[in-house]
Amino acid sequence: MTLTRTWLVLVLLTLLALVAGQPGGKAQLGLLGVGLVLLASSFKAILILRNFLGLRHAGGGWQMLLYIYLATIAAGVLGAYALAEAGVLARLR
Amino acid sequence: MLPDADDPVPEKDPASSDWGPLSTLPGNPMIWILILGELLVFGAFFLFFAFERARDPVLFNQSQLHLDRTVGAANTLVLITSGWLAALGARAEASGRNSRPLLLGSATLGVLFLVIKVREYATEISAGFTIDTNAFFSWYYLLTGFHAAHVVAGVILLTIVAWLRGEENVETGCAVWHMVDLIWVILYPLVYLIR
Repeated sequence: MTLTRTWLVLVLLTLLALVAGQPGGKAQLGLLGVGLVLLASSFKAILILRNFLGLRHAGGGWQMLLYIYLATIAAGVLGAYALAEAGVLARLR
Repeated sequence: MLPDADDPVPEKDPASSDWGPLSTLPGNPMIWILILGELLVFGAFFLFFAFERARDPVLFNQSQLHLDRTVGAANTLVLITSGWLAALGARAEASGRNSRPLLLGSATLGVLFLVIKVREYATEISAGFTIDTNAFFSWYYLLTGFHAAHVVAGVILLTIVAWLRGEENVETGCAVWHMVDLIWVILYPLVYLIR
């Protein structure tokens, strides 16, 4: 993917995440909505790493390490959201 | 013409350097120790924020409604456009072309990001939402302020490498800038959108 195509996809994904996050809305997004927002953001991060930073030319180990980093954050945030929905951590306060 | 095409980027030979695996990464290997450290610190902050939110989702959701999501998205567009110009600059430098206008354009957008952020802070503070208001706003100012400090450092570094060009210098400055960009791409949905 060329750099300009990458930039265009990043712009589209930013707008998609904004719409999924409901710019003027007050309602909760729900697990699916949060999952979509995180998916769009993680994909953006991968595009920045691979195409802007040029990580696709680095070793496969580095790519895997940074993808695991992104997946850990996304899974942690989604997991924390699910715990909040269930009220598990609120009971520990 | 912009150096946009997928030009072949010369592969680095790990055996030609003493930096081992770090030698395959773009830019000076030493900067990657800093980048990886910063990613770990921000990653830990993001997870702490998510679990703090889970402890009191009502407070975090109500507080988050006072942020302007559209301004946050506009700042995201400013940063990714800045990252695009930096990537074009690195590509230009690797191809033997003048990367300075692209790098300075990227740094200028970094300054625009900071101007928008400061205006956003001013609006929030004038509405009575400060770092002491509650846990959400403490995290909000900590995370975005820490990121803004990295934007300042990144703008300075981009300006320096635009002046002192050279393939490794430009790659190093751009690597830091893309790290700043990457952090914001995760921070924005976490703080502004997820509720």
